[in-house]
Amino acid sequence: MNRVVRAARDIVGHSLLTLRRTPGRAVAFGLAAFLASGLLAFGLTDAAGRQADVTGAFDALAAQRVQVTLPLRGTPYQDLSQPQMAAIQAIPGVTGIAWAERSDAFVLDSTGTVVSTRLWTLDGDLTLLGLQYADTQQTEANRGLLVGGGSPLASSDDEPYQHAVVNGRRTVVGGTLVASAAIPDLLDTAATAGAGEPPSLDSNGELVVGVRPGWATEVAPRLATILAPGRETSVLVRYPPEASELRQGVLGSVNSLVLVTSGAILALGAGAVMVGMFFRVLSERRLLGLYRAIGASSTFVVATILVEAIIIGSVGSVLGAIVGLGICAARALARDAPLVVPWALVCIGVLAGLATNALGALLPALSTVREPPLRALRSR
Amino acid sequence: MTAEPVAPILAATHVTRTFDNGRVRPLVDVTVEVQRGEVLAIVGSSGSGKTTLLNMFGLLDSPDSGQIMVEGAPTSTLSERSRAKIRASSLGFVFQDSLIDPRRTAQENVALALLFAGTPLAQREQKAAEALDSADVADRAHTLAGDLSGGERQRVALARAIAHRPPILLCDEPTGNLDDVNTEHVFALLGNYARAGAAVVLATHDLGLARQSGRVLSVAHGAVQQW
Repeated sequence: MNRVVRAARDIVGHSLLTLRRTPGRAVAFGLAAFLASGLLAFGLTDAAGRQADVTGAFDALAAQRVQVTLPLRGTPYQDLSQPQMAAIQAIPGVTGIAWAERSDAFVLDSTGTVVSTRLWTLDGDLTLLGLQYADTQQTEANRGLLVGGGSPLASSDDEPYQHAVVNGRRTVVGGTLVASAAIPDLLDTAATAGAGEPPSLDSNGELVVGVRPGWATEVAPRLATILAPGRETSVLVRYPPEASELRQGVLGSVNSLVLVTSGAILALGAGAVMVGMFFRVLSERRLLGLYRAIGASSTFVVATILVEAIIIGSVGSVLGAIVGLGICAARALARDAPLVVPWALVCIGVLAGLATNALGALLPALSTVREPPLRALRSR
Repeated sequence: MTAEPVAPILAATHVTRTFDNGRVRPLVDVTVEVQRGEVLAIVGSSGSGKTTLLNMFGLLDSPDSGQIMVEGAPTSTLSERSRAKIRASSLGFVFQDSLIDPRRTAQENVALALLFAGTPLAQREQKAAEALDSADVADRAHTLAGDLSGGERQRVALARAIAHRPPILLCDEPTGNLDDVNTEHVFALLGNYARAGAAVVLATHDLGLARQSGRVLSVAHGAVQQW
């Protein structure tokens, strides 16, 4: 058998025997690793679960619009009637309504080139769509053709505001869109302002309802009731993603806090192991001196102390992580909430705990073998 | 025809060792040779330097000047790693107050020396059992060392020292805390080990015991004299 493997087996065997014969000490050190790892796993998992909870509520609170993708399968109506529009406008917290219908179109530009594109017809309060234009001076949609900044139409060399023909109807290019909060698809297509026709609920499109911040959760169910009375669950009211950046900023700072706290827990665990190991080598100073006096190499002595710490750390950390996750699972079950486990972070945390345990034991181990064996033998 | 002189298995050549910046001088220009099969007793009062000489023979301490030769090889320039290897393979130690690991059984204590000497795992148990048997404590093999009596601990320490069959056995007051019966027992074991071809060096202040040894050296005032 390979010499290194034999040496490793001897070191592990010696360490395991020491652990068996010093159960009190093993349990004390293991408990430190257990607590550090358990707190870490519990903290990370609990934070992840709460973040998942907060995410939905946060988006609802921060949303300035809610929207429904059309066609709406569960509704008995073909078009949204004026009374329904008025009812939506009357919902407390609603600031306005906009809608967009999607169709296919051919656009003939001033050079005579025909381009096939998707065309959105925008109507209602267009400010709700959050349109932004390449021309920074332009703030409102006009009656001309709006060209998506990422569409083939925008890449032509034509000067803006030149004539175009859309499905046989002459128009001018009214601007180039570079952003749309409610309908991102607009950037790859083209759009034109509608003539105030009521939205068709069985056509492709989007119905966008502006809300005051914090009112989205109040508006959404009432909007669903107006659109599909008796079948509200068939209406999926979405919160557009404009809140996500704010949310990510807030949760990012929470994540930083969680990670810093986790690091502090690991450092405390490693500190406990280091102090414990210092006391351990101090109390066994004479015995370790005896080992070296009868032929144990410094490598053997250091390795057995490290392996001991790694074994204790592994068992303690893994058990701690299991218990920490178990507590989170029990809490999630009791609250009827989904269990969100950040496996990568938990695994990194456990491995980092093992590494810091080993590092915590390294210094006392090295201090032991720096002392001449004779001096250690004479110690009391 | 004259017999060719036999090289000593252990030698201290012009060894000087001082402490406390030279104010304490237990050994000054001391030369001692030990042959195979010999039991050498070193006697002297407390603090005379007998343990210092033993520690240097055991490569646990280094002389200020002079040379310690183990099995004909000089040791003054060896690293601690090389010294540890020699301690593990060529030397056996019985320390004062029978120093053994109280958390391990008698057999596990003996197996430690075999582990450090590089004995394969498969042979350790048997060799440890043989060593305990030769030290007459085989019946206590599986008892924790902390539960053994003083005499038993001393015999386990002796078994640990001879388990890997080192050619040199160094004993520091091996019968210091023992009654007469155990003293006789331990000394008989040392004699048997020397007769098997090893060199046994023991430091003692028990003159009666020393007289039973093959050769006695007295250490006093930095010098060593044949007694």
